[in-house]
Amino acid sequence: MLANGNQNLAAAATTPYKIMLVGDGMVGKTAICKSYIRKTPYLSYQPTISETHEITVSIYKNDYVVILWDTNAGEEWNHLRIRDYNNTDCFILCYAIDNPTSLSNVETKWVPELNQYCPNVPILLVGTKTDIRTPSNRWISEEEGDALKVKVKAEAYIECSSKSIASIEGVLMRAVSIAEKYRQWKTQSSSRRLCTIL
Amino acid sequence: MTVWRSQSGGDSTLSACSSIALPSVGGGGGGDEINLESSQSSSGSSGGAGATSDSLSQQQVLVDQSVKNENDGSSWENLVGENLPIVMDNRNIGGGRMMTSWAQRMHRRAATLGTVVTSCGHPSAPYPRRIEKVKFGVPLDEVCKNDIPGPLLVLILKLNKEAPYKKDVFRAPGHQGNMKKLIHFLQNGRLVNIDNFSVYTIASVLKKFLRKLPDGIFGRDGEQQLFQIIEMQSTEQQRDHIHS
Repeated sequence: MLANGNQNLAAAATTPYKIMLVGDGMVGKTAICKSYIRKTPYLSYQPTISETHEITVSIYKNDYVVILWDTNAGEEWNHLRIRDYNNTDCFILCYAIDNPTSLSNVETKWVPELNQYCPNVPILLVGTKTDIRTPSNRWISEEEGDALKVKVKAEAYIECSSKSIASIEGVLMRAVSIAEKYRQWKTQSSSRRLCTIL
Repeated sequence: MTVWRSQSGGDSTLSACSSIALPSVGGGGGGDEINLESSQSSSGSSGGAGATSDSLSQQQVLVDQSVKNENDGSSWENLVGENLPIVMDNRNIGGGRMMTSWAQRMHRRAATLGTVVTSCGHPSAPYPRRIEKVKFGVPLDEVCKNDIPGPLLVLILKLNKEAPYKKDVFRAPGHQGNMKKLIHFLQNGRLVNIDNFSVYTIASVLKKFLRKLPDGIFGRDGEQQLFQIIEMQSTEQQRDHIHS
């Protein structure tokens, strides 16, 4: 118990992870955010400009403090969004599985944008709205998502639906673990760089 | 596959507004030549689908011929004008109501435009290969020296026709790749087939066009005037200023 508590403290003492939700408009970025916070499906629709939420994600009894940035997607807000990008630990890049345009924009718009402003920051590719997928309709399949993951060099690919809180938790846990790895990598590489300079 | 081209002249605009859309026959659709071809080729084969498309195209050909007989000399121009209007049904706009005067005016404009965008995949002789260019990032006065550029007007008309049936047209993002393509075509005055682009893409392109206007739609002075009007006290005063 004591060890656990210490670990918790240690986790909380580090600066919170900054995780950013990006992706086309109307794919459900805000829904991921709000559903996780309220623990109930968030179904209303209201375009976001920019919001931040401080949440805690627990993985194996460790609590991580995460600041979740909910962004807008519109091109008219490009300059605003780009300013929020620095020091991000992980991007959650969303597309909706019922919207092929959002899938192609991942490749043509979002990944180039992220690579330009935040090179090396890991990307978690997320397919949203899986609740509407049935065997009969032919929305974007999981295989296509996986293929895209490889193509854009994202860290991982995961699917979720805002109607099932468990899947949202899965997304955030995955994002946090990726962010943690990235932090470690960053400190390691920076210390290594220091050594070479010295 | 629509070619928007119309004969100029007052009375043709009416027929353009009531819209006789081409039935899209066969794979090609589009121009009249293609219809002729497809009717010939499908006359050999018999079958359910083939027969219907055959009769359709036959009708089309008949209509074409009759039109041809009516105005012998300048057949092509007039033909295109009769059959390929800027497709706008009255019933498509405002759910059965009459067109607004603005829409009517715009349609008349579009109908008299000699060089409007779009062609099928066969850039044949009667269609211009190059059309008006639409500049991005220059003041509105310069873009619309004479009037709204034809290609831009076509985009607006397409939205006018299809957007009322869709949700979140100006909110949903367009397809990035197609947007780039369309903007490139507009800037260079290339022919484009407008049917290849979704309403969302077109809306995004139009938004981009407006965003790139250096001083906004109204210009600096116009905006100043509008702000002044907001600050006025009485409604009558505001109204008078707006109309002046």
